[in-house]
Amino acid sequence: MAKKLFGWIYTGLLLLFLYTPIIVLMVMSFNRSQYNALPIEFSLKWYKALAGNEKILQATINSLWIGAITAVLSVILATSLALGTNLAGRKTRTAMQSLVMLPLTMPWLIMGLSLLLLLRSLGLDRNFIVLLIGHLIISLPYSALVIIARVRDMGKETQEASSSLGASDWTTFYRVTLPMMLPAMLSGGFLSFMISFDNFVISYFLIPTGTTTLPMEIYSSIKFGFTPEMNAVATIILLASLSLIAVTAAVMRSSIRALFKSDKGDA
Amino acid sequence: MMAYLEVRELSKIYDGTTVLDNIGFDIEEGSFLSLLGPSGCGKTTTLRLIAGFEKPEGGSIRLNGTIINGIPTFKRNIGMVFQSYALFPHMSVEQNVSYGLEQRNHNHSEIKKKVAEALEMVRLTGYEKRKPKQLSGGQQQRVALARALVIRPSLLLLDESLSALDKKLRVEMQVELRQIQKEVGITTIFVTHDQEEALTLSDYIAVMEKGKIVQLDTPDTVYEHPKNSFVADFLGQANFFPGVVRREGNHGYLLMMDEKQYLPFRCDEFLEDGTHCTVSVRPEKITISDREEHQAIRGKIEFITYAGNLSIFRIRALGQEIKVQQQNISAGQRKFVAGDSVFLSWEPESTLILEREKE
Repeated sequence: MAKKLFGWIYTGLLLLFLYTPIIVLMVMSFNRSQYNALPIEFSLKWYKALAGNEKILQATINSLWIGAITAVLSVILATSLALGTNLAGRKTRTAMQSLVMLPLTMPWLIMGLSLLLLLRSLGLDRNFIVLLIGHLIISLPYSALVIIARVRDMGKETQEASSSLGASDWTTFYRVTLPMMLPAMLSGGFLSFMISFDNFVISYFLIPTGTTTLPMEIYSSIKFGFTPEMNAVATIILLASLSLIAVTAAVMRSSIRALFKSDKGDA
Repeated sequence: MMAYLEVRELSKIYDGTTVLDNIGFDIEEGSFLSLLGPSGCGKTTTLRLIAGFEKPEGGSIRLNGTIINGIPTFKRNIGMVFQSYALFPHMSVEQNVSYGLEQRNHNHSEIKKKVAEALEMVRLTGYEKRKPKQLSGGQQQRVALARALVIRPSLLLLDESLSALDKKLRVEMQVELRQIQKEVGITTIFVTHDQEEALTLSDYIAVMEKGKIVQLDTPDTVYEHPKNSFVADFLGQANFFPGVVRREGNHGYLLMMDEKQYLPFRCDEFLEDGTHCTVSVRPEKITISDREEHQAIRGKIEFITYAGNLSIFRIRALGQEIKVQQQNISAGQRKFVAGDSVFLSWEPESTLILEREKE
């Protein structure tokens, strides 16, 4: 009994430790006081202020665009990589896949700096292409991780079955391979999007002057004094990503279950 | 006269290892060939080469008069059933089965009719809308079979297709598979490591070892006249006695195993004095008796396993352990117990002379 009680307390404390900051932030975004004063006086003041803040809105749109493009490119690259290396020999496959994963271990600071130095040595200005490349390098490993795992799980047999039934490689790809990979592609894309959307360092180094992303904007706002507007931004981002996760999970649940349960016989 | 499928000098090398070493065989139209062997013997590779999933390093595959080496899989018109069934998980049973027909541009009503026929053949009518994950292993296996057969393939390839099923279902599916195969009259190659399965299903068995076909013949010939110890041991069980032959009288021989041990035996073929060979006899061909008979081997029962219809004896004789199987024909038959001294004998035609080398 005591043991059980201890378990509950322990778990409760752990959850409190993890989520208190986030909950405080969300609650304070609805507080009228600028200085997080208690008791809380409910108000949507900061959300209204946010709606009028052109800089934040523009930065958010920039971030959404960069994140979306990065996610789409990541998924396309990761999918072709996973399928391509799956056909190669074991050594080539391992080598290629490790190379793509390597940026996971590289500090973003170094990555950003090196890309900036590359630009300098080429005599180029900071531009969106290089910014996208930077984002792609750091977010590709995440979609690759998910998608490569799925391709490995799938095995080659369904594809071989398809071609034995008379389907050309292209038909096999869009009628068998792609539908089977779709859940992994969606979750991979989502991961990559979040990595890109969240990224500060790479953007800071590579973004063209005069443009900002949301993380950069938040950072610079805080430098000039904290306003609960930032709480409001954070709350919106949080709720948006939570609902995105929920929707993805709901949409994909049946298909994921179908995919993972059906081919138990894979040997 | 050309055979329906002719495989000639087929070779495959993976990462410097020869997996298939110049194999060749013929299959007549409508017959059922099993490729039997331990894992790594090249049987699955042979199947994959015929299906076109892999490219051979050398040799040719001729199907119905046409060399198909250069033809890609999707144009070969081959039905394949995988060990994992490889059903498309996102498609229903009906969609799985109609997939091959859609690739052949059949019209809609024709596809519907053929799919219904195919599902009826494998007794899955009523399961059209189910997804593969909602089916049992045996049902999935039948969907895979229907999917492969509905396209009227020139050749049906089965890769360990029954191995994932439990024993009772497997035996049921064996019978069903053979019935359907005969009904459709389709030339079939079946890869298996299960000797019992190969014996019950096949018209012909090719026993493979280390990338070569050791023996290809009808099941009873392969069983009764194995070419070497490997075949004798892999297909069924066998006792082996290596030694040198010495003639004894008109019909008898002695096999000198070493200075002390010798095995008297009779056999239907003529052997020269001094021939090195392995004499082999299957456990079920040996008779156990408690009376001394002419040329019988004296031994001592070490262990008896009762298996219902059979009793399996391990008998110490000639310095080795001899396996003997006896049918338990009547409940009143003479019961032996461990420790009994017994005499072993067998008919001359049951003697197998393997690995013969002249001195």
